[in-house]
Amino acid sequence: MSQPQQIDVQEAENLGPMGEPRNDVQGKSQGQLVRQRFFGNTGAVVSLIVLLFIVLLAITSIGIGPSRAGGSGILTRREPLSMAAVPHCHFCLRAWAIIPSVRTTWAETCSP
Amino acid sequence: MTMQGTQYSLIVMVVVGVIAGILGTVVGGLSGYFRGWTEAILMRLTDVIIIIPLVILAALLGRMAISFVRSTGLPTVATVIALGLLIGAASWPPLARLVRGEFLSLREREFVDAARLAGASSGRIIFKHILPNTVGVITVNITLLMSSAILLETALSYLGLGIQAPDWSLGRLISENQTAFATRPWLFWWPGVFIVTIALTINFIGDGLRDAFDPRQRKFNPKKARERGEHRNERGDVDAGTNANMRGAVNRATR
Repeated sequence: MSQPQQIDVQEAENLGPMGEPRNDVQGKSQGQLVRQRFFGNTGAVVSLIVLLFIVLLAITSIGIGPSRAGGSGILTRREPLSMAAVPHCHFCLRAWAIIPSVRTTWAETCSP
Repeated sequence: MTMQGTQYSLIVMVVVGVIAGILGTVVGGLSGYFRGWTEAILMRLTDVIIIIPLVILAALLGRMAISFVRSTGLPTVATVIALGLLIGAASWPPLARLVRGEFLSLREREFVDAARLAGASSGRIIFKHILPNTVGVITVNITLLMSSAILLETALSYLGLGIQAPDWSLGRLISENQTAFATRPWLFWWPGVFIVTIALTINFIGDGLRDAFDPRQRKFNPKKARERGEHRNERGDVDAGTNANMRGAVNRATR
């Protein structure tokens, strides 16, 4: 009685229909095809760029708002506007000089 | 504040996408591949979760998460991540059902039978043969889940059940600033613009991914197809006949 031959599954999957090795077949992978089709879609690419821009803006908060996104602890947080709280900005020298009576937003009190 | 709210809303969105994606894929994959008792238990669990309204479940879990994190004294980001984790834990059932359907269909295909006959283990069949064919469905539905997650988080924060003071999210900004709508409307506009833009862009990206993964589902534009010289056959597939192609080429050349 001869022992049944062990089949290497990974090797068997790489063989063609006639048992020939398929490594010599060059083509685009599924990932390459999907990437090519995705980047051919103008709406999706524009949306991706806009979303990346929003993410970048949210992470860095370049020049917008009194507080750095993520709450660095440098700036004090505000109470809700409905409570007529005064915004405070440690970075802004004008905020130290101006005592806001009517103005309530950072844009009105601190922005140049 | 809008940027901080956007950042927290984006964190919730990403965490929900990751958690719901992992849970939905694992539950759907296991129940679709193994069937039997595994499928019965997992799908009944899915049914139980899916019948509870998501807003109520997310609000309850969100309050629990926020109370727990605050009692431990962790930073704000931990609260936001915990909220995302629990919203994700409540929003995986639709994805699980879709993945189960895909697995049920794919496990009967010839290439899976061939792999099984060749002696491949269940893990190998799942990860090497079935899962790569379901990546399209999973990716597209994760993008849709992320888009609905940001709206859900906004709704919870608007109702006062999501991110709490002194931190901001887009929904809380709208909630706090709605009294100032008549006098300072820009306080209301910017959070709204960011919510709409983020939800729209994610939906467009999801549409693009769906078209990329499965070009047969692409929307058929009769006008453009006529210009290209294509037409649909009885099965709905797009054919490009020689004469029609010639007409399309002539149309393009004479334009």
